[in-house]
Amino acid sequence: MAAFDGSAFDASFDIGGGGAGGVDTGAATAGLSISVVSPLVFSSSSGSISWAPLVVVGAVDVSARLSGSLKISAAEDSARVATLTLIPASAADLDGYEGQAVTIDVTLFRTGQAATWRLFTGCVERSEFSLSERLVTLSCRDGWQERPAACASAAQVEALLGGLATTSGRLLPWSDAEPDPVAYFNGLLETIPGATAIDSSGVWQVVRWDIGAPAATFPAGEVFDGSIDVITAARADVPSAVHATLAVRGHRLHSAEVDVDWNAVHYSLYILHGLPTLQKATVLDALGAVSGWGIRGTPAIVEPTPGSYGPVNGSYYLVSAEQAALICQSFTATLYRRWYQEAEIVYSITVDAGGASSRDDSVRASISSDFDASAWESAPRAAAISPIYAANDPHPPSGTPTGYEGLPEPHPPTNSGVDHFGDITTPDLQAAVSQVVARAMRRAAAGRRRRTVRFARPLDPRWEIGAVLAINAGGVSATGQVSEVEHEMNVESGALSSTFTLAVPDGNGAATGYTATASVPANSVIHNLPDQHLTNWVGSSFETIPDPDPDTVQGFLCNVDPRSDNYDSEAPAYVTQFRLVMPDIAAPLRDPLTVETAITGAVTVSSGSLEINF
Amino acid sequence: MALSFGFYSDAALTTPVASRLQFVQAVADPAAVDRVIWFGSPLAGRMCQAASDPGVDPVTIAIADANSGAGSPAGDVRLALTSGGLDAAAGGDPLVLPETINGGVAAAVPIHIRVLDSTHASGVHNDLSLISNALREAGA
Repeated sequence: MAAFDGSAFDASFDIGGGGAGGVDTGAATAGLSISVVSPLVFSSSSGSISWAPLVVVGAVDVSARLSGSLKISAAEDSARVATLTLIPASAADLDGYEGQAVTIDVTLFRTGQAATWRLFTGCVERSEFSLSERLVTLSCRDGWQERPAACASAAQVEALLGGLATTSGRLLPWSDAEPDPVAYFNGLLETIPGATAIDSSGVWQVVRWDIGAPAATFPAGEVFDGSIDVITAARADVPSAVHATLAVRGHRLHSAEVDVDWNAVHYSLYILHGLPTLQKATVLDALGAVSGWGIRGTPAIVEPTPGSYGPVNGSYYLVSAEQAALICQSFTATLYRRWYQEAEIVYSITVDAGGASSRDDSVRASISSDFDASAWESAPRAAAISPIYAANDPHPPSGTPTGYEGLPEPHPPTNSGVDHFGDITTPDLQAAVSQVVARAMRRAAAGRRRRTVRFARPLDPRWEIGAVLAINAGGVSATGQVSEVEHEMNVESGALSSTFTLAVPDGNGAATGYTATASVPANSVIHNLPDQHLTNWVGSSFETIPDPDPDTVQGFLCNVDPRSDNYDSEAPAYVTQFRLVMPDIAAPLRDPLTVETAITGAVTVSSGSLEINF
Repeated sequence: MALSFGFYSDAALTTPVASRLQFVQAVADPAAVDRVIWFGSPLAGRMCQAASDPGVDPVTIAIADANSGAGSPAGDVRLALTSGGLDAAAGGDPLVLPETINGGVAAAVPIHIRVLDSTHASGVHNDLSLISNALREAGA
């Protein structure tokens, strides 16, 4: 049907994924304005200059309705703001100002020369109407706050900072699930060796704090008399130094081994004193029950050889094959222990901020490992041998058994320790250190840049935030970087001026920047725990030691048979057992540990110049 | 409805280019001034094609001169998709964009503009503008 053919139908029913369904046609346009300017327009030599503002609110030229003063001011890392007063055409206009786009241009005329310059691009933030004067004052600002907020990814935020930011996913992570571009922007802004601003044309700018050759030098004839001020920062505002520290929290993992051995008494004592034999099960139970320690591999237990031993005093000690399989004649074993210390490596650097006060500033940050050290420490050793097959395992373990099979990694060197930071990689560490130093650099540079020179001259819109200018007037000779600028034009008096604030830091280099490297300090942990040579302790005997040091009573503890000639009913009798006391781990090897180490790096702040003669 | 596609002064497409893009040139020995703007739409569900043959003909951006013979010639303006491309671009040539441009910040197309005055005539020249071919905007 004709009604369902053609673009009218398509347009009516055209729907898109997530978008509005309509079809729109048209063309996109953007006008260009090329202002060919002679520097003579900005000359302060004798002659006359005239000017005309062009203020557009929304799409309406309100230039003819301006009244009083028109001010535009800009500063680093903040929105450019403009204030203007105008006579509203009607009461209805008062409701329509807020949110409207605003551009402010000025055209300067000098004999034979003209220059149009944009001074402001933004929107109306607030309007205030004075009924008595019938004037409305518009407060306008640019989109400096909105630009970061509109970013949808970390890359977009980083692009706003012109690649000058020092990123660290550990210290300042970006979350795709819960993006917070403003917080991310503000965090990164603290790391750049420069500043941001939106220029008069609405273009986002990132300027480095580098002070090179001045783009212009203004002698006395180019500067308003009495407008020059030299401002030094208050002592309290500038610290003498900035301490930057990064705490990296991880673990020092330890591993220690102790060899243990034991031998049975001579068989004659079984005959003469009626001593009991040590059962294999008792040994294994005792070794396995030592708190905090594990058995490396399998203990080597030697059984007695079945047979008849003696005679001693006419008696024999008989060991059957069945009994021998249960008795321990001697054994050797290796017990191991692994434990962790909470370790904090503190990387630090001190940056001279140039202040005269005794106050120091600090930049602190920390990152923590996600390593589960408790699970690492307490995990039991898994058997290397399959519990299914008694022999001919179709999947035998590969490599030489270490006796540590199944223990979670990492495996510290035997009788030593290793510093382990889990998921914190070397690039993570380097990025975090760099970001901390970058923050210190910016604070130091910002402090030094509080030394400023301010001057005013006839309206000069050529210079934006970051421009390097020099002044040689009124006994002040200075070169610095524009950190603030204010233009003021009075429609009624015709006066117009630009006030520039130059940052003239007392720096230590040509460019503002930093270097920083850090590495994990080596540890020199060595454990040297004594081997345990276990013996036999016989109680209820005339030979029993009456009061031994309990810590030394280790090995097989048993008693003489009451029917033995050596039985002493008054001698101490032991609880029959196999007793093993392992050496303690010294507190400095267990308690939380802090290691301080220096960041290798340097911070430079681009230097301006300032000389005062009077 | 007006097109949501247009020129923006930032990559995040928050600020439409509502007034003339300003370029300042010195009368004597002017230096080229580069600037980048973005073409796109903040509406992610939209797409833009040439109305002449949607999806086949490319979207183009031309330099229009409203007053040929006065002001600045179109040849004083170069367009490119990259800053590096400005060196090779010919002054006054239109810029060819893809056949389909999707809405959303990620799909915004940067347009690099270089202006170098050849007139050396002091004054303000408002005769040039950027203009796209006829566009058709629809749901993606």
